[in-house]
Amino acid sequence: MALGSVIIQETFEQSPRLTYRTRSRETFGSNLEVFSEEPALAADNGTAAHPGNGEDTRDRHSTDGSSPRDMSPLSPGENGLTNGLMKEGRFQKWRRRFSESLLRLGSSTGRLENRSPSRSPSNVLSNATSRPRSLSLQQVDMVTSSRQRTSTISGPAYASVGPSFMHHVAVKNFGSTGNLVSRPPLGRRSSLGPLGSPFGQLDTYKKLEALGEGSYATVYKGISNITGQLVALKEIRLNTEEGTPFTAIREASLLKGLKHANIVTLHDIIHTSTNLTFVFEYVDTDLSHYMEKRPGPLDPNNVRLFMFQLIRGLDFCHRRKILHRDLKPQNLLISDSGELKLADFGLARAKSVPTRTYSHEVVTLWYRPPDVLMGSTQYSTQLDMWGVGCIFVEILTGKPLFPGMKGVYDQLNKIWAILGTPTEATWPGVTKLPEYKPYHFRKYDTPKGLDSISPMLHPSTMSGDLAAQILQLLPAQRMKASDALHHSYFSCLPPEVYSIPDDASIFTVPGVSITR
Amino acid sequence: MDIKPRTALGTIGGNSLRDRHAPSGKGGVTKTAFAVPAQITRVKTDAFTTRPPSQLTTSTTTSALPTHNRQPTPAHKPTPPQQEDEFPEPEVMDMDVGQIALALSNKLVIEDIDESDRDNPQLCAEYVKEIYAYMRELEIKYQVDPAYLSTQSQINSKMRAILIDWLIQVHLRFTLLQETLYLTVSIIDRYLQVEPCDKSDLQLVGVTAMLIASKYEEMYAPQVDDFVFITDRTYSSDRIRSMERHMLNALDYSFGNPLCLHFLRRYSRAGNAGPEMHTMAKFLLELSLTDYHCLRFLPSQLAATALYISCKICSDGEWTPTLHHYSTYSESQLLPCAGRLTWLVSHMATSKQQAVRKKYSSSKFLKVATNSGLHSRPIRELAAADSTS
Repeated sequence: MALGSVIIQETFEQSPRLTYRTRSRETFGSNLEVFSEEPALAADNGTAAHPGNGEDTRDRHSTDGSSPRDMSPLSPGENGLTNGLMKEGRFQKWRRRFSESLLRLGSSTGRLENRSPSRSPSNVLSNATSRPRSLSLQQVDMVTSSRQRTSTISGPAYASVGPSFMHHVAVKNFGSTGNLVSRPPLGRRSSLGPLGSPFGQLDTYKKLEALGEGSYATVYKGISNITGQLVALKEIRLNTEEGTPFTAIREASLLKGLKHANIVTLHDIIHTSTNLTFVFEYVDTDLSHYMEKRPGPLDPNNVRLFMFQLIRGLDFCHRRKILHRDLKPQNLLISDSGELKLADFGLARAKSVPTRTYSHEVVTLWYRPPDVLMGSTQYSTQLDMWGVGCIFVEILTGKPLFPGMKGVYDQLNKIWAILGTPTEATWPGVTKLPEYKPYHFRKYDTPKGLDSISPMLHPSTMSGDLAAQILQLLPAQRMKASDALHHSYFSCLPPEVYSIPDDASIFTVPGVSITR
Repeated sequence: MDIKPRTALGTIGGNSLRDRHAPSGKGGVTKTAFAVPAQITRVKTDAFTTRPPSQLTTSTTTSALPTHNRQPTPAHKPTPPQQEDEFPEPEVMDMDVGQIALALSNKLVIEDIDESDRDNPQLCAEYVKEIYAYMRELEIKYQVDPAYLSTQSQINSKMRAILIDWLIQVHLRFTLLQETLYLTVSIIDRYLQVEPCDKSDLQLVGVTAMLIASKYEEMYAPQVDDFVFITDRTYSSDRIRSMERHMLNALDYSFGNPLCLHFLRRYSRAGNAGPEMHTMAKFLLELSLTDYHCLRFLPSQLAATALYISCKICSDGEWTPTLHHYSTYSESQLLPCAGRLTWLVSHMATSKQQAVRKKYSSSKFLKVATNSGLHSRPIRELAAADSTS
């Protein structure tokens, strides 16, 4: 926590040497240089374990750097990284270096040395008073025990302990106990809305029924206790060991930068030690459910409006170097008024230019382009466009375009049947792709073509032309979102749809409406 | 098909260039221009043929131009390369490069560095220009106050330097991506700007920033335990997780800020930088990480300056119009930042922070830190102009 702990500070002020130089033996393994230094003045950190806390107190104490280190070896084989590091005895030295250089700095600047000869904690208190907080009874209880422990360690006489001091201890212990409620500093979340404080708190929202379960989260319908507004609560499963999942960090970070009418809005984030919930705007349904309710082809007018919004939202992402990487009907939310919003950016990725490779296990198989299916990691915006093409055909015809059932090669053969099996002549470099296994491929020299699926996909039609340009086997030939947006298929929409602001829905343009 | 063709550079410059040189094949001229600096000047002179006379008269730089090239006639034929090579190059070089680019602004035919990428979808040539314009907006939005440490009662710039120097070693040891390091430093600065931090928690902020950056950037991020280990168990994994939560909140979960590395890659391309020049620029950028005074420069500015200095060390040192165009910085705009970076170079031997210097003295990094050009006269002169310290 940024609000430093009193324990740390206290000890430091008593004896900075003790704070930064204390080391103990660590027995990591035979191949590791055993590093031993004189145990500190505060010889014992052994105090009563914190009530109700399974966490070893040594860990907490070690945070102040003043107590002997945990003697237990890192469990070998726990992770490769650490083991790799352990092989290097040298590693120890610079692991130390940070603290030592800070020590040198501390003693040379003198600015931070504010040691009081009377060993009174007054410095601590004066520092602490800048952030007054209220404490619950439970917190105070805990604080008390912490304080006792503190006394045991460094032995200062606590003449008076103000509430702000308690707070510091509480904050310090918050991480290890997990039974306090996180209260974000005031004003910090102001960017999320005019209300300020109600944000970031779980009790602001009431959880209603579950809407669905994703790969790393469960989504509930919810309602804001303050505004009465419906929300979607995406409860992210927390990995107790590794903290916040990287998918959540990426999704939140990306969505913060994507304010667009065709991208789902992230209203709020509630993050406590046990719970991480993203509060999204509530959108009635998704394209998958929408199609289930309306078997068969969708209304052509609606298909056009959905496609325009899908490409518009995606184009916006691509212009901000963000790949969605997981386009599928389930991730396209549809409101009652026909608004389409891209959702689920858990697999999305900010892309710098030029790029490096990303993991190729990203897109649901049906909407995965052939190059990625064959193991290419050299993908870019074209990855998303293939999905757009598949979704286009699916809503136009009412049937999934390439519903592979039996793995990658079945999926590829479904694609080859329609678009032809690629050869080095038709696709230079295809044979070099990692998963190019011609013996798994069926040979389609005369592909059926997209028009075999539906007359609406005949190349002479505008929809057929758009689909054909997007569903190109070669990534380089696949149409870009920005170009697709200006395809003549959309020419019957009013021209204003191109000039409205990013955050305006296309239904604000007169003459644009969904067919019911 | 009825799709408007798009070029990343817009239609004006790129098309005129392509149209006029159509016989030589798609993008052929641009590609050759890209390869050899001498040919870039040729493209530069082409620019004048596309400009209306009225604009030419207002330009102070045109007097140095060959006169026959100033008449924009629609019937202007593509000049064969052999003839173009006969242009008196010194005349072109005499002009103030910055002035040319400024005067010509959007009409100038700068070499289209994305032209050869049209067929490589991964480089998103279609979007690249817009993306970089957006990144320039973002970097301003995310810029930290260059004096933010004055709000910290316990942390000073020396501690920041020590922390980052140490993190550079951790980063190297964990073999993380370059982006992760720059993002880590950016997270630290942004966090310390908004939250008070105890001196004893500074290292915790540092490793947690690196944890977050790794989760954002890496395919396989180090585990929390690795960071516990790396701090010699100074902080428990619980404290790191709790700090992670706190920092995510404090920074509003926003980590998409552009890094100088993103810009450097682009500029290195525009400058046709070889591995040595690019690595040298990366070395300079990493040197700047530990320096608190460098916070007053934007990432794009640091990147451009690093490449500018690197040009001086590894090649002829010309800040070409193409570089000016893609970086938007003129040579004179880079001088303050160049002064600071070269000052860091001139003091790196005596600095307490040695991680970057050691790292870039290894053969993996082409030993750029030991390049004698770093102590050459032009560099010393730049350093002498630094007014910071």
